[in-house]
Amino acid sequence: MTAYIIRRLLLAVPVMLIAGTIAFFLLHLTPGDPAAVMLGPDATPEQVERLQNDLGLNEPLIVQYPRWLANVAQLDLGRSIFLNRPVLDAILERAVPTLQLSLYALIIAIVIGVPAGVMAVLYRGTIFDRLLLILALTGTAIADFFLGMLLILLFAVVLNWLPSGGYVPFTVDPVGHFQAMLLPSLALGISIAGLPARLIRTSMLDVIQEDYVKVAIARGLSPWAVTTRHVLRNALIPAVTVFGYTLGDLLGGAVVVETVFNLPGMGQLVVNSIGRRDFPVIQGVVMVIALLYLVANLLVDVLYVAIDPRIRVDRVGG
Amino acid sequence: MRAEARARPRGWRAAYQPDRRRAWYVHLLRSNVALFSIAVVFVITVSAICAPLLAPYDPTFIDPARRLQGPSSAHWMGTDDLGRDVFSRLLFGARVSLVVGLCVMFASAATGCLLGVIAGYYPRLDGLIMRTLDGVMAFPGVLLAIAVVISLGANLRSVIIALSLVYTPVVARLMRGMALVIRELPYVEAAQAIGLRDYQILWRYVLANALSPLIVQAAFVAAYAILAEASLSFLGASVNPETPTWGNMLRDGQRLLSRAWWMALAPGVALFVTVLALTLVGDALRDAVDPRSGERRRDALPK
Amino acid sequence: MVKAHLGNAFNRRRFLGLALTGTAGLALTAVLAACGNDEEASGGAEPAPSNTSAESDRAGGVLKVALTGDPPNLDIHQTTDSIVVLVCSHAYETLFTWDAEYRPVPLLAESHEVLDDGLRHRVVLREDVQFHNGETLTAADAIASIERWSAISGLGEGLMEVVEQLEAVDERTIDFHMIERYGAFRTALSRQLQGCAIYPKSVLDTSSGTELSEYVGTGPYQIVEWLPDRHVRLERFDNYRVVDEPASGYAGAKAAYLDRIDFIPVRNEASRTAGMQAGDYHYVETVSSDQTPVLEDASGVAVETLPADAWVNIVLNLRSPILADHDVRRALQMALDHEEIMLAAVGDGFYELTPELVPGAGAWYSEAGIEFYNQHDPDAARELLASTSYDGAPLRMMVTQEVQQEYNATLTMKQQLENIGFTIDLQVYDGATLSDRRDDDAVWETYTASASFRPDPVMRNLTSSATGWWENDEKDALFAELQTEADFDRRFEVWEQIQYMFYDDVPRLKIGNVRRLLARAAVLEDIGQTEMQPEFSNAWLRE
Repeated sequence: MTAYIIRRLLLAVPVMLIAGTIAFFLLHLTPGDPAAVMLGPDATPEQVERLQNDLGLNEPLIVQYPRWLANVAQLDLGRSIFLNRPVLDAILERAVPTLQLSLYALIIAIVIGVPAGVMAVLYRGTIFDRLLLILALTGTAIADFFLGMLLILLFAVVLNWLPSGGYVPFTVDPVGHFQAMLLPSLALGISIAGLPARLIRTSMLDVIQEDYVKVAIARGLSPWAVTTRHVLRNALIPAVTVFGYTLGDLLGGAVVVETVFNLPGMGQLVVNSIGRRDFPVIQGVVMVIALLYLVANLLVDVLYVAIDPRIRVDRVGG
Repeated sequence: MRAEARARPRGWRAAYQPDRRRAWYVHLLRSNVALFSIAVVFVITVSAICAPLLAPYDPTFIDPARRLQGPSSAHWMGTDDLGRDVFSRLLFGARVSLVVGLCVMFASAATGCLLGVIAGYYPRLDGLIMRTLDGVMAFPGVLLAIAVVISLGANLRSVIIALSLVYTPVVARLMRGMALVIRELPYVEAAQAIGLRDYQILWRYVLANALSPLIVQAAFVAAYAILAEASLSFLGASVNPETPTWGNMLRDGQRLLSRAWWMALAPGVALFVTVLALTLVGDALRDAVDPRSGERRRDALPK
Repeated sequence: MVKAHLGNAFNRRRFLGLALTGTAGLALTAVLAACGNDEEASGGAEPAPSNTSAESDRAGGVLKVALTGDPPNLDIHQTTDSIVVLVCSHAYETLFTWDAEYRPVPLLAESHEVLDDGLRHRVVLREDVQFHNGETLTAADAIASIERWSAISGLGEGLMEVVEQLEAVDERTIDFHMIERYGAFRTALSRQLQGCAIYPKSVLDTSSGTELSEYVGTGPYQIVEWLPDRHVRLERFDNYRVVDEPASGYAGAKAAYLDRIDFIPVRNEASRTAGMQAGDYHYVETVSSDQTPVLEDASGVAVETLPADAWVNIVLNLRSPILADHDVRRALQMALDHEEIMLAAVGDGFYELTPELVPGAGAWYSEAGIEFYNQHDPDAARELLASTSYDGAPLRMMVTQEVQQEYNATLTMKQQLENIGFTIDLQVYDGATLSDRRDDDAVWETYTASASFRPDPVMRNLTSSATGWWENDEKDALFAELQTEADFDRRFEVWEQIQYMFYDDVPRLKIGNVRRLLARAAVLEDIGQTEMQPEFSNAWLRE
């Protein structure tokens, strides 16, 4: 097992490098450069060129790329052109809101999705089953920025219960923190709730086939007991693991939700950095997100193996 | 479809296969929800194709004197901030959104299928292909799409390329898994033994058997691609904003949501209904093609 | 306080008065303004006179300002992005600034003398001005700042070209030894985009041309925290050395009533508007005029339509093979219906169709070239275009969707130009791509921008190196004279000639003036001038 984990971690290195390299070349090939953004709308071409030289942006990629690689090898992600601080610091600053948002959204998605999935199985084949699933899918089918705006208009503008956006660190004001995070978490949570609902439903339907469930039913246990004690518990494992793979989607949704609710997270950081061509930051964020993604996948795989001894480690996770 | 019929396996599977194939669409058509969803997708497709006949105005005609007017008999769904007719834009927007959905679906299904099957069937290529795809997949999808659209320019082609890039690894992973399993099955070994070539085996056995999950996945990809186009519009990296797409309309609409609700309502609802319908079709397909679903139907929980 | 308001009112009323009298001097302006000018009835409500509560009641409170995005940096030398002026003018000060009449008056300077027939400018700094880091302002700080600024900014470069030497005569006195006379001396050293903020020499010694090591200035507020995407936080600077003059425009006493100012970047326009409606912000940097009815209905929000101070600007690329032809540019100028374009851009009631190039600076109002402005004669344009060698090659029009009014204007213009026979290739980019591409004369024919407020036409960048590349020796000579000449009447004559050439030569198209929408919380008082971004140094929050 340890050898497996080490091997997987080693394999993560080339994957991260590929992601970082894609980012490097894709971004340096896009038109637009940070000097022009920094100098603002009335700058002359001469001024822009002077700043480009000062920032070292005019060096050929063939020089810039190896230097970037060498720095990354020393765990140095470079310095942001705009933010006046090292890239790693900027990322760590933003990681907290994003992780909090993802966590709360995940909780909301599970709170909505899992009961919907379970009920759908219990009322399988009835109209209730379909309605529940459609309801859970409703959030998935709405564009999340539109949903976010609707929530802001209702809860912040019309009812004036919650702030329209912004971030309050938990350590500064716990109540304010949850007030500020509630709407964005709802927007993101609702938009992904369809996934756990469908996963639970499918996975429970698989478990129902198992002999021990049939035995439990034969023993005369109540449907409630069978569902909670035997079916749901066993169905949760595959559902949770599959859900683990979708962390990437969560981060993608976070980009949009952070923009609508003005949360200073990694999503905003990277979208803004693309807007101002802050290359070191974008490359850094891409590598960090890739790492998070790979670690999450590894954890899921390890969890999967640990829970289900029938699976051999070398067969999972590609 | 004809090519597929030719590729159908012979021998003992041949007797089994037709039944199952008939079975899944029979199941599909028997489900009311699926039928309804298919009808919705059909209506939207037809109105998209007939947009030039149905639309009362030129969707790009600007008439500043009529900007931001609410729904009226002249403009059923009002006008936007350039005085363009929202209803006409909605109809034409359906074209772009559906084209995005379809093209991304076919492109990522084809590429993903090819890469996945090759990776699954040839262990020597597996590492290289899958690590590269992991690299793409680990690259956050939205960012990849934005970066691609910005570097290729804001047009339909770059949006399709960008989203196909995002969804290809997803399909490839699925197909690789299928290929890994199918490769070990006795009839593939048998086919190898009688000297069939690799491409014949891949086509007749591996691909043919992986087709059902692929179709299911494709339906979801189409739904998500349509939704993703909207998110890209919001983040300012989609088709030329002059072009009516639901994403562009929704983006403009959310900007003025409290000023002119009609601008967001129409594309919002259209997008929602289409994505929901496609997802439900995908769900129904999944139920229908899953060989175990027959058992499931008989084996409902005791009440 | 009351006086400051009056100054403000004069400034706003003044400009139509001047429009009528053409080259009137400032004294006459005041008289006219005092007579009252009802013609500007559509102008937004003047701020209510300050209430009479005691000064001490005003102190305190946290001001929250929503920005359209993060400032690219907190260094005024570095950028022409007006967001930096909005944030940083509270913390950094310039040698001169603008009073309510947009005259350059001393700020960090105590006095300014012109000696040796204009070949020496002597600036004496105010005494005991403290930087936020505790250092006292000296001539060395000012010289270091001017040198850095002139290496970065175009205006500074222009000034230093005629400065032979900067000499620190004593701790507080600087002599500018000039090569030739330079009439726009104070103007160049006043508060503006990419202006000459004075930083401590000790900070500049550890800074580079691209990055400041610390954010230290002399202003009434100091920058205490910059968390990009979250906020820039400014707190009152207790050792601020108040100017011993009544407040006027950006000049005079600064009371610094607020304890703290938080500048919060909110990129999504709908989120900004919603935040304003919900009372989360006191002031929003930019609001689309389309949101007017929404904000008017919101309780606790005061909405005001500002007098015009900016204009929609179509920059033409004179190096492009198509637009190098003067007749093609003429046809373009003739074809446009400015009314329709402005309506699409900003909506009814938020535009003016007048030809002056420095709206808001009423003293410079001129109608030179009006015969070429807003001709809206598509038939004549079609005819003229047909007589040129234009062969239907696509006109590449660049625009960004990030500024909605520019985007809407461009789309409308496209439709009008297609009607007279142009082939248009509309290219929509994100802001960064656009600002990169416009420097390449081979890839575009036009791009759309906003020309923002300039108190003096010398600050309007129409040099031959500005994008569009308007190369015209006569114009350049006139511009040089505008810089060196000190006499207003002569400068005005020169400016009128430049403006006429602007319409005659068609290097750019002025579509129309934009009247911005100002939205603020009703409790926020005395935000002062708005043309060059408001300064909250005398602002206070009502209980």
